[in-house]
Amino acid sequence: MSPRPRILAVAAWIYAAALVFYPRRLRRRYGSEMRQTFDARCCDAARQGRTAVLALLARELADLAIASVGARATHHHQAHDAKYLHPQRRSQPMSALFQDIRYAARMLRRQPGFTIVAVLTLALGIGANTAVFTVVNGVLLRPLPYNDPDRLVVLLYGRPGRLTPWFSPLNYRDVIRGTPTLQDAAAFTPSTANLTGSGEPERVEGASVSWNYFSVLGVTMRGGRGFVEADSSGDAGAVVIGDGLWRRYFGGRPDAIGSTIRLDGRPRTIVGIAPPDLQLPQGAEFWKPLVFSARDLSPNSRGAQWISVVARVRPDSDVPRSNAALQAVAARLAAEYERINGGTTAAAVPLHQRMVRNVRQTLFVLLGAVSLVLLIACVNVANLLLARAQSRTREVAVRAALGAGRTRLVRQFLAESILLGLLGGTAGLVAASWCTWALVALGPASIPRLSEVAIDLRVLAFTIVIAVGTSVLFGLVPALSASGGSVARSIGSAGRGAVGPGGPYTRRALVVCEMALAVVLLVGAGLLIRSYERLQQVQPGFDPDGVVTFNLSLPDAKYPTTTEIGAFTATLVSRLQAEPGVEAAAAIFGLPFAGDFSASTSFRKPSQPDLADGPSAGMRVVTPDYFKTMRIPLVAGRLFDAHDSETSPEVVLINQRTARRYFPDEDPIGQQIRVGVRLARDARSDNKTIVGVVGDVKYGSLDAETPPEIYLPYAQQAVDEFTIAVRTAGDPLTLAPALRRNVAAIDRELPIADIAPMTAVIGASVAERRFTMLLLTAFAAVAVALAAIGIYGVLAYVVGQRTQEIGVRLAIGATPANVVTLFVREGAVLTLAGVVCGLAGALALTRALSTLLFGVTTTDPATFAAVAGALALVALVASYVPARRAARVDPVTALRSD
Amino acid sequence: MYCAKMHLMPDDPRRFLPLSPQQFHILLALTDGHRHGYGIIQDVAGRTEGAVRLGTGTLYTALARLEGLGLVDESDRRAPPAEDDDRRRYYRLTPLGRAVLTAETERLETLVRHARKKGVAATNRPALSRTR
Repeated sequence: MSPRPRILAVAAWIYAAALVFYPRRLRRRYGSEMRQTFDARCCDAARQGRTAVLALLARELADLAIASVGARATHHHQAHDAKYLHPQRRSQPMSALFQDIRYAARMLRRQPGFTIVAVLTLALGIGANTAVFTVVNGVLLRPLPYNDPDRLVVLLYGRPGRLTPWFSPLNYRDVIRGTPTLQDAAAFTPSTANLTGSGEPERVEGASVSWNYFSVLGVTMRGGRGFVEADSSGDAGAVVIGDGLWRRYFGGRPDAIGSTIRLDGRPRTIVGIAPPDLQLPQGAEFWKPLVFSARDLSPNSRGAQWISVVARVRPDSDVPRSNAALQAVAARLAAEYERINGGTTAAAVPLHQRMVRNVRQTLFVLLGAVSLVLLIACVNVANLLLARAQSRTREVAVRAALGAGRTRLVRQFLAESILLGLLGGTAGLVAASWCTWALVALGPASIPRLSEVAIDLRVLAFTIVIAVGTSVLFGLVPALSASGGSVARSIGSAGRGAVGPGGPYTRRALVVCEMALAVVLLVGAGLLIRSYERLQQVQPGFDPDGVVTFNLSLPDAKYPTTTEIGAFTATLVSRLQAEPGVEAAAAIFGLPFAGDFSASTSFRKPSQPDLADGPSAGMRVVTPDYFKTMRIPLVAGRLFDAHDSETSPEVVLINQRTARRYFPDEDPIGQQIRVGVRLARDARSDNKTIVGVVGDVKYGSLDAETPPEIYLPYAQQAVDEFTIAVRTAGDPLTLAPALRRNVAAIDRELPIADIAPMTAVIGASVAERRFTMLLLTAFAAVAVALAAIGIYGVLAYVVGQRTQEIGVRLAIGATPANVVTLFVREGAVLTLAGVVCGLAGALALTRALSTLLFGVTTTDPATFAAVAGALALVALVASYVPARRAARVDPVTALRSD
Repeated sequence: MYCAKMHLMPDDPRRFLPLSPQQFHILLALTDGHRHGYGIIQDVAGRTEGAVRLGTGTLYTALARLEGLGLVDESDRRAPPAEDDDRRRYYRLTPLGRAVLTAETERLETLVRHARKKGVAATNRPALSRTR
């Protein structure tokens, strides 16, 4: 027999599994025959293709379901109608399952208060989970919206352990040529441009890309086409615009293709519109052809690393093999160009993995935290059901006496739970769609693919699974407890005080669990809050209050040489300094906390050889007043001044870190160094003299170490893309109109971008941390509220159960205060147990947070103590209320009620 | 209708009427001799030109009922060993089953006759159980 195709085996397996729902006696007699018949039908259908097989499977499963219901119905009637031989099926078969569901619906409708509370609690838990899962799904689980996205990789280059995605054009070319496992590769580099034409000039982010970029990615264009090879010749002015830009500028009209826009003063024809989910690089709104100049490809430029590479692995190869090939070719290049490439290696990382590497852990921590909230919600609903079950013991006992088996009773209660779960799930889904919208709108920009997040089939399946799963979870214990117990006892007594499964011990245990979970969440939130506080206290090395910044990018066409650039910048800075209210103004290339910026260079003393692993530092280019504007202290020597010009000897400033690290035993002032990288076009590259040392500044992020930095004077390295910083005494944003006015006075067509106070720039750098902290705090708050409700519920129940006992106590002389103490002590015992378990759990689990913390350990005693204290307080207050009510019980009524 | 059957003898085939369409087709499929489950499905599909498609679950539920009523039972004859499968059972009509089938056909013919007398004629739409 030839091997069966996989789909036939899968279909057969599914059908065999579905036969479980067929009545047992029929299954025993006909089961194997049915499977064989199904197999035969599948084989016949397989001749018409896979869809036919799947359609057959669907039909057969539906048929099986209907036949099962009908078979049960006729079996009931068969026994009853044996005398009358009534072979017809009833038109509306009422099987036990339908009965259970209708009965459950009736019971829930009869107690609307309980049902609403339970459904809302579940909706909260399920909704929050679905919302977080939607984000996890959209960012981490859904494949990228490109063709065959698993074959896309990003190439990395550099020293082992310090790989970065930056290549030089020559290295890129050589690496690609030497790696046959890659089918195709495209280079890209981020770029910004001034969009002028109709209306206000606007600065837009985009990228320069090689002509095969869109085909390597496998992008389905929204309109028009990608690039062709002809577009990358120097004169052609083609551009692809993004969906957002298309809607903003052209109102989504199809005639945008073929129209012209001016980028940096240069007219470009739109040849295509990219889909909204093309996010490489993140935030790009236009893509123009990348053209390498002769200088870019000259041997001297092998060390200038400024392009990134995305590649597609061949269908007959895979990522590990590509990695091996890349390592081999990198080793060859390292040997060939020892000075520049010495000691370097290359690697390929799947594109998706690289995009989400920073947020993976945060998202999983959030998912874990929100599942704890769901568990707490389940415990609350379980307690509600248990309380309800207690009040139905009589009904259950009667049904049991009439012949309902235990299984049937348990099934009945489970039906109620599942109905609650499904209702809660539906309400939760609605809540989740709002929450998802909020998460996407308020989420930090550092989370990639956030705009693609939406509720899809996988999210719906997830919601259904957790709705049904949690219903079984919270419904099983009450169902088992309600259907157990001795029949006679339940009917005979007043129905109160039944001890046993589902009795007060179960409820108490559940509450202790709840509180433990709430403690874990509170500890997590507390640790994150303390980390954030610590972070806020970090001194950035400058004074951000009162400083406003904005970005400028001078187009080639109008500012072709450093003379024009330098002149513009000098004029602008002096105009701004003359503005009333301005204390100081400066231009800087490399503003602190301004995102992914990184310009770094190697440097050496003139006498030392140029080594591949020599010292390196970050590079900033500043006008003389920068340090005054940012209030960065001068530690030694002097700052830049007007004498440091294009023609005077080249000077640099270094920060304290550089001084301590590379000039530990000597005075750096007066020493000479050679800097490896040239940032501006016609800059000189002679030996530079260190004239001063300035204070350390945190440039990347508050929680990172201060890197060594070198400052170059703007007059000697006039770069065409920079930030202006202005210090004012009052509110920095009030200067915004003045800033625009001054720029427009010099060049009307120049847009300014990203006007923001420096404090906001720093704030944006911690946006993700803040987001995580706020979410986790919200979860913890919900958890504490639910736990408080839980403990209140249990104590209220206990008080209710023991009303008679309270009456007796009061009657024989206990004071109300004694009664209060009695119940508060109960609450305290539960709280203590819960807190202890919770702290133990937290000690184990906070390890997951370790990379998100700053300045606190995962076992920070102060946080643990504070959480324990806070929850104890809340729990005691929650216990006090029913205890007070207990004390107000009238002994006479209590004793009389029986 | 149901009360009217009280006067029939225990073995009278008319006690089993009316048959559901599925039961009728299954009995009809077995008139030519014995068949196994899939064979019945194929026969019905072929005869009605695809208008009646029996699902496996429906088939075996109906067969169970028919066997319970004694209209159908398991046959000893099997196909030649080369084409046979151990899991297959072959079914055949009992004499009672054949009688019930005949009675049902008579009942349907009577109904049609009454309808025709009143001027209700069949249209050209393919009916659910049109024989070749």
